[in-house]
Amino acid sequence: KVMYSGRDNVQTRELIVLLISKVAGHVHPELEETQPAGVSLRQRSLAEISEMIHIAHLIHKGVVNLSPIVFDGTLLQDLEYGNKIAILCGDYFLTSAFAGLAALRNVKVMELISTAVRDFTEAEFIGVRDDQGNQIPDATMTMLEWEKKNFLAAGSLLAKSCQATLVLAGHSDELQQKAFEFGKQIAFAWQAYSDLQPFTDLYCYPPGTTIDLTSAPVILHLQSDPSLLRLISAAGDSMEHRDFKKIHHVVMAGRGVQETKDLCKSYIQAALNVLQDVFEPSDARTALENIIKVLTTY
Amino acid sequence: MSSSMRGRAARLLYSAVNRTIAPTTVPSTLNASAIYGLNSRCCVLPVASHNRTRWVQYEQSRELSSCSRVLQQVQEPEVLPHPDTLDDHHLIHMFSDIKEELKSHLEIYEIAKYYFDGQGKAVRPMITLLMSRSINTHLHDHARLFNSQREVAKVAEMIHTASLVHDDVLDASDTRRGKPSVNSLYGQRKAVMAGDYILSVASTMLARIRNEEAIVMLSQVLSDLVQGEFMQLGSKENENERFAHYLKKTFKKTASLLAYSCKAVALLSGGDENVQEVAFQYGRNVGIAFQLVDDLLDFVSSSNMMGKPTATDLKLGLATAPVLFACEKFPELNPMIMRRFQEPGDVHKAFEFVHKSDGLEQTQFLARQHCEEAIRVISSLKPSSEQKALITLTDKVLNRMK
Repeated sequence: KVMYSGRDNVQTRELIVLLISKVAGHVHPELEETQPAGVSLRQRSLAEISEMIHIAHLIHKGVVNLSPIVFDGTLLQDLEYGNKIAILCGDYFLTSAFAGLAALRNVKVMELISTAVRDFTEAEFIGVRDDQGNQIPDATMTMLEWEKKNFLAAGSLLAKSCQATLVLAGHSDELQQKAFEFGKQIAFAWQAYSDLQPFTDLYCYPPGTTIDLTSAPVILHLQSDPSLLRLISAAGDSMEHRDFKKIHHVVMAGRGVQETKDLCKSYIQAALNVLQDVFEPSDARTALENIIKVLTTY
Repeated sequence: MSSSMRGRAARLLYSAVNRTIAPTTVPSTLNASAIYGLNSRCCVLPVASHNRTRWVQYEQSRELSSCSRVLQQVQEPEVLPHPDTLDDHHLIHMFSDIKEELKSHLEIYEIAKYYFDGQGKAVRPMITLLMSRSINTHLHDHARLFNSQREVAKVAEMIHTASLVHDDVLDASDTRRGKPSVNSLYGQRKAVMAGDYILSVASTMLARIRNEEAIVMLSQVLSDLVQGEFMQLGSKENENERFAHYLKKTFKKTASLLAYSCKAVALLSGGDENVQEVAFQYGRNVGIAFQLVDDLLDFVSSSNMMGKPTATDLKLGLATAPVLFACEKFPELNPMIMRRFQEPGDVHKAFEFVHKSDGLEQTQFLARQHCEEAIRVISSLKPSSEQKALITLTDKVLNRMK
């Protein structure tokens, strides 16, 4: 299945939300109990909630489809137990997050984040999938669909969290929209970067490791060279048992990787544009810019 | 106008009375202890026709007492809820409303709406709506529902369903409500995602109520549900602690949703702390009674319902009230509880022990006590047909066979 890059361990979502809060400041600083760092307690809480929801989702995605036909005996028992823990942990994080959301006592924020949760659960059902829920690519997939799916799956939470934290600060709808846009572009850049990892980081991902076959490089490659699809569909329905070494080789030889790198750059530029056009220069803004620019180094 | 109302009420009465399957002994009052009857096989409201007449007369007097009330009847063309119909038409609308909220062009819509087909008992929204009307009558002298209260009922049912979906994956259940469970049809992953989806939609609806206290209360339920699930995984060494642990877990898993839904609608009606407490205690006691009866039925449900007593709880390693009571007489149950009935023959032996002891009777007795407490608190509200419905509902809870 999809490889999660190491960055997801560093709670970057939380960091982004906190930084954008700081960058935007407050409309009425004296009304909120602000901490010295310029970020209110409620905004901190929101950032944590956002991260918790992300983690809950990752954990729930780890649930495995089990059937006694395929697995049996102690393996089945172990996997069932693993599923149990995954479901309960995910539920625990999710419900804690919802309880925290309620405690923020802001209806708009609660609506925003709840719809974000709805979005990423819906995203799991987009497209045709195999037995374990991996999406199967087909010849008609375009980057537009990639964007739509990844907006729901990843972008929505980040975009809406950024917007929500500005709601808590009392900012105008326009500024909220900008924050939303910023979050969305970052999420796309992030996803594109993540999709590139199997093709750029050959130490962590030696050829042969599982690749997400609906990732950007693969889709872009398929657009110029649909013959790869034959290789992909060759070995039956499961997306987990493919000749990844060969697929890797084919994609590396094509234009997909470079096009994805360009795409990533354009998302980053879009995000930077929003930041620089809308918000005043500050330490926080520079920090955000630096974080984003890291995504351009492969 | 008033005569047509009377006519409608009378017709409803008639059909309701004819619907009851086997009218049993006729209590002359709706006294709580008279209702329970010692026959645990009784599965029907022991209602007498002359009691009904009394209610109709009561409603008539309410109707005719003031102009404004008559006007209200005009504005509210719906029939005043009758204890037996128990808001049926509202409940049907509720399910279609919920399905509307869950709409999506993706497969998730099929999965999410699977349990909202109106086949479930819808006990929680029913109690919530009845409680809403009782409290509205108590506080404002009218039984019309506020929209926010309707939303709470919907949210309650959705939260309950979401937890069922996840529970079925956790317990690896194949069936639910007489049809295949979601996880057996679609696999575990989709079931988990569907549960999350329903929860997120419920949360959005909750936010729209716009009453922060109510939102906080119902979100508390979510944490309680998960905590209850975790509590079920653990077990206590000490026998004395065990029962307290069981009751606490029962509250979190079952009663919490009912209690807080009732409390929320009381709040939304503008009730003060005392009124909210009445609602909360009713919900809590009925919830606990509900679970106790559930645990009891696991040992006794007979051939009409499931072919044979299922003893699912034992097979899952859970020591419920009947078992805990049976421990007093058969201490050999203790090590079995500790090892969660894993050894071969444990389930069978434990089952025997429970039936040989008075565990089942004690469980029924405890459930009855909770119901009596529920009746006691709800009786402090102003009389209304909904209040009476809530009282007779406790009897239904006690005497149900499935």
